[in-house]
This record gives sequence, C-alpha cells and structure tokens, in this order.
Amino acid sequence: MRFFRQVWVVTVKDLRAELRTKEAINSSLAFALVILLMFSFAFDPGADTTRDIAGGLLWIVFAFAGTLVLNRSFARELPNDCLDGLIAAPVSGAALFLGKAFANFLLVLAVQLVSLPIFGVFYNVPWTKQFPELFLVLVLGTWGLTVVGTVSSALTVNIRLRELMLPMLTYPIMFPALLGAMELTAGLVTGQPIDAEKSGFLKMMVGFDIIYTAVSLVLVETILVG
Amino acid sequence: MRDRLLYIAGGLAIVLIAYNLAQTAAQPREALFYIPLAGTAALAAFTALAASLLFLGSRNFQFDSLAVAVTEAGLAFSAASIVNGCFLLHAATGRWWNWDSRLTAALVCWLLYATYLMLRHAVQDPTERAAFSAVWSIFAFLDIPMVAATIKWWRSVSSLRTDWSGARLWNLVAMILVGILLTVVRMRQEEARRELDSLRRITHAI
Amino acid sequence: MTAVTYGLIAAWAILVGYVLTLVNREKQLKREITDIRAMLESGQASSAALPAPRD
Repeated sequence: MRFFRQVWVVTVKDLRAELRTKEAINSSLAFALVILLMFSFAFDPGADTTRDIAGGLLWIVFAFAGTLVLNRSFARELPNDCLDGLIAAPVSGAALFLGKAFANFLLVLAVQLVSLPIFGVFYNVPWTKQFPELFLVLVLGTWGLTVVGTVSSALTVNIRLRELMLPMLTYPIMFPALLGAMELTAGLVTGQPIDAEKSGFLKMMVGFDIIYTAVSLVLVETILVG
Repeated sequence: MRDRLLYIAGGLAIVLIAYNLAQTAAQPREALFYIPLAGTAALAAFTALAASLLFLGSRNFQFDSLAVAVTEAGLAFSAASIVNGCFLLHAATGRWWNWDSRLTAALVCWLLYATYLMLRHAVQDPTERAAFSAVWSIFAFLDIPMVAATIKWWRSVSSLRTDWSGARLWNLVAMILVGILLTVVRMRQEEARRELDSLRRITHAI
Repeated sequence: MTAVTYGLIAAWAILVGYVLTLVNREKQLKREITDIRAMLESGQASSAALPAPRD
C-alpha cells in the first residue's frame, strides 16, 4: 500500500505543478488544433474517403500533441536539481515512474477528450455512437504512449537534442499500439462496432500495455540511477 | 590464437559465399537471398538482447561493446535484406514497395534498432550510455514480435515467396559467419576506443 | 542481368559499405593512438624538464 501512496503523491505533485502553470497542456491543445486544421487542408474534409481515414489522422494528432506533454515530464525536474532530489528521495524508482506516468496519462487524456469534439465537428463524423468502445481504445492507446513516452523522457532528460530524440525514440516502439489504435478508431469514429477481425488489434493493445508497463517498472531504476 | 580463428572463419565464409554465388549464377530464380540475410539479422537481435541482459546483470563493459557491435552488424544485414526484398518485389509485381507485410515489418524493426544507435550517439557519459542502450535494446527486442503480428494483421498478404531448401542452409551459415566476423571486428574497435578514451584521460591528467 | 542479380549486388553492396565504415573507424582509431602517443612523449619530455618536487 505504501507503494501506491507514493505513486499517488508523485502523481498529485506533477498534476498540481502542471495545472498551476498549464504550459504543457495549453501548448499541447493548441498544437492539436493546429494539426487538425492542417490535416483538413491536406485532405478534403467533406469527402467520404477522408471520413474513412479520419480515425488514423486523429491518432497522429494525439501522438504529436502527447509528445509535447511527455517531453515536459522529466525536463520539468531539471532546474534546481529537482531530479536529483527525487532520485535521492526514499521513493523507489518504480513509484516515481508510475506516478509521473499516471500524471502524464491524465494530462494527455484531457487534451484528447477536448480535441475529440472539435475533430468530430471538423470531419463531421458520428463519434458519439460508439463512445464507450472509443473511450476504451483511447485509454489503452494513451497508456501505451504514456508509458513508452515517460521512459523515453527519462532517457533523454540530459541529452542536448531532447525534443528531437523523444519522438524518434517513442514512435517506432509505439508502432503496434498506434497501428492498432488507428485501425480501431477509424472504424469506431464512423459508428461501426468492433468486429472479429479488429478485436485482434484490441488484444494487441492490451498486451502491449501490460508488457511495456511491466518492463518499464523493472528497468526504470537502471535508467534513473544508472 | 584468436587471430588465427578469425582467419579460419574468414576463409570458411569466403568459401561458402563463393559457393552460394556460384549457385545463384546457376539457378537465379531459386535465389531467395533475403532469407539468410534476415535470419542473420534476427540472430543479431537475439545476441543484442542477451548482451544487454548480461551487461545489466554483470556491468561488464565488454557486453556493452558486444551489444553495439552486433546491433550495427544486424542493421547492415537487415538493410541488405530489405533492399534485396525490394528488388525481388519489383521482379514479382513491378512495384518497388507495396507495403508487403514482411518488408514493412522488417523496415520498422530496422528503425527500432536505428533509434538504439541514435541514443548511443546522443548520450555522452560512457556508463550512462551503456546502461541506457541496454535498456533500450530490451525494449526494442520486445517490440519485434508485436510489430510482426500487427503488420501481418494489417496487410495479410505477402508477395514474397519463402520456400526453404537444403541449399539455403549453406547461405544462412555463410551469412552467420560473415556476421560473426563483422561483430568481432567492430567489438575490438569498440574495446580499443574505450581503452583510448581512458588513456586520453590519463594523459590529460599527467 | 535479372532483378535477382541486381538484388544480390545491392545486398552485398550494403554489406561492403558497412565494412568500409569499419575500415574508416580503424583508421580514425590509429590516428588517435599516434596522437596520444605524441601527447605522452611530449608530456614526459616536459615533465622531465621540470625540477623534481621537493616533499
């Protein structure tokens, strides 16, 4: 239980720090809107073919906007040696990682839930028809993105080209989960239920999340302490 | 002694490669060269995983040198197999790239390990670099089966043929020997580089 | 010269390219060894010229 209390403390700390300044979440939301606009210039928003691929486009928006939030995650601790303080604290690396991951997850999910209605309006898709399933796919995909992104954030915190390295590290690993999320969302956003052939993607996303969460919890101590 | 082993392995590899080239010249249609190349790349991925786990367990930097050497060799073999696959695809379908499930999965796996190399270049401190790359190698390896499965569901047809036969086994052995040679050479260079760095630090201190 | 032959040539070209990068790296390492050797010798020469420290 102590572990979960520590996780909770780290999550609340990160959320409070972020919500006081709202830097990452505002810029992430603005970025999401800008990309949504740009995609509607690139693809004709009224055409039927665009509606078929709209779900895939949505996940590109989420991936890019999520990276902005994830970048700040460990980078926020750099000034005043806060990162050293956190590592020296009697909180296990796994608790620190999980707390940050939860905080990032909630922030990215918030950005996604705000951009979803805007997306629905721009692309004229009936996204509310299958909302519980859509929400499930959002949660699964975002948790995968968050876990891998938080690990990448910890890895790249001291690197010069941090903003460039984080996406380069995260996206190839995210391929299975992103592909699954895109395929599932493309169907769900147009109101079709998940059929048998797409349920494999759902299982893949669950497996991806479980495997990478477990591996990250085991290995994050090595990353943080060296 | 180790040098002599290397020369013997090199000689054997050359003999096998000459044999496989002669075979290809004799029966060009049957040469599915990308299979042994991809197989060697897969073996390289396994070795990288083993080296990374061993490094994390023992903190012996020789395992880190082995990991980077075998990953670089694996990237070279994987790139060769993808390019070869593109040529075969062009011969079979007339297009250079058609999102064939096997080629796309190979490309994504290549990207995974390319990010490993990028991470190595970006981290300056050697101990941190070794630890981070070991962790990332484990992450990358775990992704490979998921990438393969997902892309197979996405594009279920593969335009490339895969029929094994006894002759192909010799190609695989030849490729593995070449891979071992490249790895050993690269590993030696990495060890030499580490020793040079420490010597440089000593000379500056003096 | 069928596509298979071109494919084979391309595959081997990539491997040969990697071997060339290894060769380049070897040259760079040899250059660094001579540099460090020079530094050591000049370092020893200059420290031999200094008077021995008196403790």
